[in-house]
Amino acid sequence: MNFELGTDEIALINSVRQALGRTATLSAARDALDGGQRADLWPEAVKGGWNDLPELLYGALVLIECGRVLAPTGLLGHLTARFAVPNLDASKRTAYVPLDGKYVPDAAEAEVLVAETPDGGLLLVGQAEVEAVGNYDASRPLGNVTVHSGTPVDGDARHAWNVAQTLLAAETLGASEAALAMAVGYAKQRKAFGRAIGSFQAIKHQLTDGLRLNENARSLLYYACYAAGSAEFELAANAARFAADQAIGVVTQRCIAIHGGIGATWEHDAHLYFRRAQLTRLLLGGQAGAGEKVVTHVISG
Amino acid sequence: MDLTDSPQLATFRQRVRSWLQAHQSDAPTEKTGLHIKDIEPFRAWQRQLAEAGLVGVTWPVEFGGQGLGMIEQAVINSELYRLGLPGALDLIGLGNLGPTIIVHGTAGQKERHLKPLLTGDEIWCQFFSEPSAGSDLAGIRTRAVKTDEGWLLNGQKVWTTNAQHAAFGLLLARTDPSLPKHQGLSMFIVDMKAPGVQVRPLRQLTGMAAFNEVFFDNVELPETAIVGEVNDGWAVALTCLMYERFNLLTMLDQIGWQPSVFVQPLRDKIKPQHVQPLASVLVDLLAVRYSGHRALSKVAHGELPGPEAGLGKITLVDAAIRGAQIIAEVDGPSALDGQWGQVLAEMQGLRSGGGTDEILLNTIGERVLGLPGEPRVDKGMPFSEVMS
Ligand SMILES: Cc1cc2nc3c(=O)[nH]c(=O)nc-3n(C[C@H](O)[C@H](O)[C@H](O)COP(=O)(O)OP(=O)(O)OC[C@H]3O[C@@H](n4cnc5c(N)ncnc54)[C@H](O)[C@@H]3O)c2cc1C
Repeated sequence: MNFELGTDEIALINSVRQALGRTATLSAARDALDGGQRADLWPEAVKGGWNDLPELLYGALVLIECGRVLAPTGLLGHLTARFAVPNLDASKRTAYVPLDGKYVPDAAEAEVLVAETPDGGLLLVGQAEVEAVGNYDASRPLGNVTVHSGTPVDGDARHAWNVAQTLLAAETLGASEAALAMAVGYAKQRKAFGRAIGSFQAIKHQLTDGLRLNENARSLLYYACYAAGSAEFELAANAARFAADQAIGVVTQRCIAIHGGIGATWEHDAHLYFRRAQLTRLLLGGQAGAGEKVVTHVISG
Repeated sequence: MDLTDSPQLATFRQRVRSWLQAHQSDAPTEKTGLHIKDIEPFRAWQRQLAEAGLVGVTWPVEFGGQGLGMIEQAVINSELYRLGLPGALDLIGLGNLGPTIIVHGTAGQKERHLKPLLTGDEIWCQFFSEPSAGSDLAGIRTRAVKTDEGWLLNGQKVWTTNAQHAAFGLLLARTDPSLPKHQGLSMFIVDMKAPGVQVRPLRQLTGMAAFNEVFFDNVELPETAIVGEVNDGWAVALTCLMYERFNLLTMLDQIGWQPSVFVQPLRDKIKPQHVQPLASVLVDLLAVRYSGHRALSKVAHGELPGPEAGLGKITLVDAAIRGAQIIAEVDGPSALDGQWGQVLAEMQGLRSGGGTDEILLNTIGERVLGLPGEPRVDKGMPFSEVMS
């Protein structure tokens, strides 16, 4: 049994962190809310070879790091398509388009689109219209897609959907871990009534509960990566997705509250993560959609 | 990520499975729960498991164990669960108390006690909590006073699981009240047949009595009853609590319930309003299982499991309660008269047993997140002053 990260995986994480650390992604995310230029780290992803990873677990680990600093890399869409249709050209920026085509992550920036068809197949899109939408979380590029034509490719839309749930869960977990770390750091340093506020149980217990939720999400994410080739994948991927949304939903609100007044300012990073949480839980079928799939799977299993 | 067994573990699992399949008809038929009516069939089952080398597997070979790891214990637990069989009767003795004696006990104590503990011939109980000290365990007041022959014990313990069946108990007592509270404690082995030991069952909210209050009235303990050094009992207690956490880890895969346990009764009856609450229960139960696998993997790589196992308990208890409530909503009030009412009751106690939610959140917040502790008003004070 091996259900923890090994040295290869940790080395990958460190290299991703280092590469992403060269860009001020958080201030770019804030500026983009005011109409500024959003950061685009796709070139960084290509440089690191993250656009062409051999396993879902590696994809998940990279996306955790992207989520941690709210880095728009295009990898959520790209890697979903990549793992769903393995013989795509990985060097071309690709995005995966689910059936409804609404608020599709990374669609507007992609050169290639892989779209779900009503019969559960996948299409390499020829002609399509893509319109960039939404700016609530400016670090998350989204597009509405209308597909006009394409050629069928080998691949299963259901598998693609589950890969998307897994990778979204990973990115969400990274953001939730960052929000928790931010809150923990502040709780150690900020003093009130002659003590660090983290020594008050009302604060400490909220933070530790956040750790519990994050760790649950991480365990389920590993489960999803482990189950990727099996019949359990649907259960695992949707459970991971549900848990990650649950964690970030709680943690980002507490993060703002634990910061007091400063947490409620535009200049503070806390609201960037809160925005991520509020938007993400609605994407790709939503947290509730994942919940339904979990229940259906267990009931019929 | 890989959950497949290594070749050795696969062989081990196969051996366990074959043995259990061959002997399952010998297992007790009464349903296990927190309360057992007739323990004799369970005792006999533990003896059989012990003879087959299936209990105390993490104990060193010289003390009757197999010298194996927590992973092997987890494999046994999951194979038992797979066949719906009960495990050993004395989980507290095998999991917490025996290992503590192995670490801190004398050669004579090991020689005398470990074998009958393994076989279930002698059941053990853990005498830690008292009426005035549970979470604040170092605040216990039961006194052991040095005499010419040994020690004289006076005081009271409470919430003691299995005391009604026990031959021996591991007891934390205060030996020097003039020292600060953690420093004046010592650990003892108490013979339950000694004059002055009185066990009274306490009826729990489940309606049954699995724990007890136990009184010690001038109980004479021999010199050889002490485990570890005089006034070093806190270290012994910490060892015991550490093993309690390990024990929990090897069970996380199946003490609770597989998600299907909560879904089975709902098949064909579930309404739209139950879907999301049920999803949350199922997701949490799965999370407990895979967090357990992560922790066991750490152990397999030579790391000690941290206090995080306690987070699994919080998630598990909470999910089980919500799951039982959903079933009760679907089935109506009659569900409370049956199994699900019982689950709801048992979970309430489990929230406190083995450390309350608040204490777990304090400990993990401080040790894992590095948050500062609270001011302690009794720090460094002689315990006699704290009491007054
Ligand atoms: C089913 C069951 C079986 C048990 N079996 C055994 C056994 O075999 N042997 C044994 O020794 N004990 C046993 N116990 C006792 C158990 O360990 C204690 O109940 C537990 O440690 C809590 O102690 P207490 O009951 O004194 O509650 P208290 O410590 O008085 O706690 C009361 C409340 O105060 C809260 N509280 C206390 N301190 C703090 C703090 N610092 N910060 C925030 N909140 C705090 C607690 O969380 C709790 O909500 C068992 C308990 C149960 C329910």
